[in-house]
Amino acid sequence: MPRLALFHRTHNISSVSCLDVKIVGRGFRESWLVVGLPDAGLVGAISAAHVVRALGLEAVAYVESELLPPVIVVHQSKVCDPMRVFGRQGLMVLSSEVPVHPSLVYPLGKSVVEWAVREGAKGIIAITGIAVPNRLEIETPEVYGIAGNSELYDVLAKANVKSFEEGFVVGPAAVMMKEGIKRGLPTMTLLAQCFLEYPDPGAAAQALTALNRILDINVDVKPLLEEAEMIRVRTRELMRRTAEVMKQMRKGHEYEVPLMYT
Amino acid sequence: MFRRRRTIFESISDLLDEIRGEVERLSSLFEDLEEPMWNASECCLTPLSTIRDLGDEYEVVVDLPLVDSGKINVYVEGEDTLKVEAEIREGVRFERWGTVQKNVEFRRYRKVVRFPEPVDPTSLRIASFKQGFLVVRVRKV
Repeated sequence: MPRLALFHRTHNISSVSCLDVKIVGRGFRESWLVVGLPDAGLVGAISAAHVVRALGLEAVAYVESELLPPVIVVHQSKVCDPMRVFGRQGLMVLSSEVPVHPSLVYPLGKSVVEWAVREGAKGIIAITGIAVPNRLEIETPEVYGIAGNSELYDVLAKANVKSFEEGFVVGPAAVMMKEGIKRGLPTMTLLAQCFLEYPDPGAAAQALTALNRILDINVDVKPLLEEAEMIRVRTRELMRRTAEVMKQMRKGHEYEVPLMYT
Repeated sequence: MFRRRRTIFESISDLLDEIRGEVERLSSLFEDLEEPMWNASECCLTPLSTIRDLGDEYEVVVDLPLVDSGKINVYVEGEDTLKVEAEIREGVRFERWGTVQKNVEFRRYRKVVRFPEPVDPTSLRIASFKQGFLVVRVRKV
């Protein structure tokens, strides 16, 4: 039986599509969707992969699109899609093992928000990195938050997450923020200071520490710090491809000062 | 003495040769994304690196996790090539990855960086080695 048909049958499938991107599978109602895609320092990707592993979350949906590279990932002899949603009641995680090409950013961001709304998710928290040129001098990276409304800013403040006051954010997190606000879906973005073009497990650990406080969960970040060097070795290829995509996406914008309004 | 005037086709052909040469030179400066970042027969991995033009000099940063500071060898070869070799603290294995790689214990890093302009090999210095990031600087000629 074709893999897709099997997945549909076993997972009581519904799908949401937006232009050329489809999210196939069911989510959990009243659950937060944490999104961690490959980006600056792979902060989102490393964070998402760690949450999935630490909490033993199962795949519940996957992203289907001809804009994705023609890739399958084989894990323990099982064919998997490279971009999947994992979850359990209360928490879902969108994780990707391939970079998000610029042509995919808009349709993916819109589809994710659309799917989260349709599945009755509580909201979206995107984890990403904000590259800082002096990252080597920073022992413990700061984490900043952006929220779609003032109540969510209160949530961030209670969790001791400083707000990101001025600057550009480039990539899928930016699209999800805009779409989330438009659709009235509670949406937040966590930005951890990081290297732009080197995998940064230390920044991911700080982002997850903030996530723990926001969602009142307990993802152990110690393994992330203990295995940081090995994670850097293992994620070299993904970082190289992601860096190439970030150049096309003009990720360097994040270093710039926006026009100020008074 | 009479000198034949070059035809427009010859001029265009020369121009195209010049452009081709420039494209080849520039493409040699960038890594091929399809090039694997490991070499099983030599048990070595390619580290990530970046190069920055600081005006009078170049700064190269190389990510060398699992490396101790005394186990790095950096040198300039010729007039525009930096070579970095480093020993990995404990051999790295990827038991659940690929077909060839999973049987290999990777023991060193090797990186070749080509500068866009000639450099002075004697000016090479290690600016820092912190958190596994090697920062080297070398002056332009």
